[in-house]
Amino acid sequence: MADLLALDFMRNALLAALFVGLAAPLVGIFLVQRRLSLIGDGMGHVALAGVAVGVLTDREPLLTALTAALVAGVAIEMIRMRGRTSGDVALAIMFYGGIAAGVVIINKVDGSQTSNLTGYLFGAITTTTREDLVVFGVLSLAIVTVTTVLRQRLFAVAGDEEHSRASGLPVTALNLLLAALTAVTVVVAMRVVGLLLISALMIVPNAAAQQVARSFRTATWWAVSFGVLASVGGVVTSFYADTATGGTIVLLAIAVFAVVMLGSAVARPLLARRHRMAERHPHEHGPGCGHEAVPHDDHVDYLHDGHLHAPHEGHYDEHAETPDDRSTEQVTR
Amino acid sequence: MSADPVISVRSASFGYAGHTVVADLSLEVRPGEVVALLGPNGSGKSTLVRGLLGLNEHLGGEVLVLGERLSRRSDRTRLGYVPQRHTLSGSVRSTVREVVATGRLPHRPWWRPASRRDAELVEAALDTVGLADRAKADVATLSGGQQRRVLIARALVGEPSVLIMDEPTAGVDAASQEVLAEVLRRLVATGVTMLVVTHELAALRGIVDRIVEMDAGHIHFDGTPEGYAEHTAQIVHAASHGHHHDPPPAPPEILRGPYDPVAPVGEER
Repeated sequence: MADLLALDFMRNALLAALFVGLAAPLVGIFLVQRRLSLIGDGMGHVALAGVAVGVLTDREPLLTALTAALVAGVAIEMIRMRGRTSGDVALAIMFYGGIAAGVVIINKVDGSQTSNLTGYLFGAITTTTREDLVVFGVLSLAIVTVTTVLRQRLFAVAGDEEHSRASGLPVTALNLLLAALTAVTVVVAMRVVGLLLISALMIVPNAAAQQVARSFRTATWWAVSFGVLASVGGVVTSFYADTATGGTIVLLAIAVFAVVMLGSAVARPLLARRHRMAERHPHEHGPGCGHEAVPHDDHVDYLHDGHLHAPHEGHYDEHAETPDDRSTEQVTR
Repeated sequence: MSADPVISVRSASFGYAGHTVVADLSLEVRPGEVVALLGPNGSGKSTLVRGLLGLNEHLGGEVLVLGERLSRRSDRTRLGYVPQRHTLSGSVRSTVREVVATGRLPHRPWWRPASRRDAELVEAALDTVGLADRAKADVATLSGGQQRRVLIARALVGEPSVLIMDEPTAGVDAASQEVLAEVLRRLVATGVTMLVVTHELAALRGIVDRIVEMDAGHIHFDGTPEGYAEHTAQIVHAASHGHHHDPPPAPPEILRGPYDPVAPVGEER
């Protein structure tokens, strides 16, 4: 590890990976919630056209890419809001147009053997400069701050747009904000995993987190942990295994997902054995339901025909305290 | 509370995408009333309530909600909305408490975190709908009736003066309908005004004190449940077939279509 940290470009790469691993899943969870998992890829395609404009006009490609991705984000949101079926085709044309224009322009300017293009498509994290790092850091900090402060609002709008609108939340503004956050993430992640793999860092850690989390809040924390693990772990792995960094990061994220899937598949029957569902139970227990309430650790069971019923998800579980114990308790009381 | 109507609609039209569905409709709802809005699919019930909520286009006429013009309502939280389809999609994990807490968001500026009072209102709403013991459950694991109660609690935490419910009992089995009806009775006791769009009057017996029936964008009955029973009896009498709205004579296994799985409305001959 010391040899890795001794290298300037590897230190930069690790920091860049940390920023992206932190920021991407925070934005991605709202995309997963809105079932727009692939939208980041589309924005990445358009961002390549932005890079091309930067190369052509000799401007900073990061800025032109950000502009292109932001314009794409707003356009996507507008098309989605109008809700036409033709919108889907319009998006496809925009995405492929973006990547095609990007490839043509960059090759024209740099020559067909350019490594520049590959760097944007598949990531070139080891070329991260100190200036890049400052930009990534500021953008990531902005993403973390905005998604933390507005977490509940973004959650409400992504979960139920209609109710949010009826209750007076600024739905359009929040959707445009999410589009902008996605665009910023795309541009930061562009240099780390590449435009073609961007969605992976936003989505895969969240897919894994959904397997283990029990609430939106914990899902967010798990996703960030998995994201940082995959991105930083991917940089380290690619250094020692001498593999392409962007691809390694994404493969590691998928490996984390696979392990978590497998783990929960193994754990589920084990948990189910400890957990007996009560008989079909149309009646809802509650204060005044006529069944005796029995405090049991952190919850309340209800004594129902000699069984203890505990609320679990949408049903009731049988809780294992034997009815005999209960009746003696009642007698002695 | 004054006796001024909480909802006052005068020769108003509503629709969407420039297309008028409800035309020249007038309706007043007074504080404390519990109004059932009936009508076949496509009769304009949903267009009307969605129009009141600002989700559809208001195309003409005058509409006052809690004394304010529809277009300039300053505090939209005073109309609590319980949507029709259960919008609690399972795309990400979210607990009952997390979903209910979003109902408080319009009450505070974007930069302010939830206060103690916000948290207390969430717990109180969970108690009211009988979900306090499932506050940490993933909403996707709940039954249809329980999810409906989550949506009711989300509307309640906004401390609304009027609750607008779109088909609260649709697609909910008989036992859960009973629990839902109990929740609604509890709400009626608090004096909240309710406008309930429904197909299933039987599930709301003893809760509703006024019935408004719409067809083809117009109101063609407005009166008490007793008056409505008479009105439908006449129609049944006049036509060779019809509906009546007594408690379910048909066994609950009979399926009636997507919004009427329990069929509390028995069909004559």
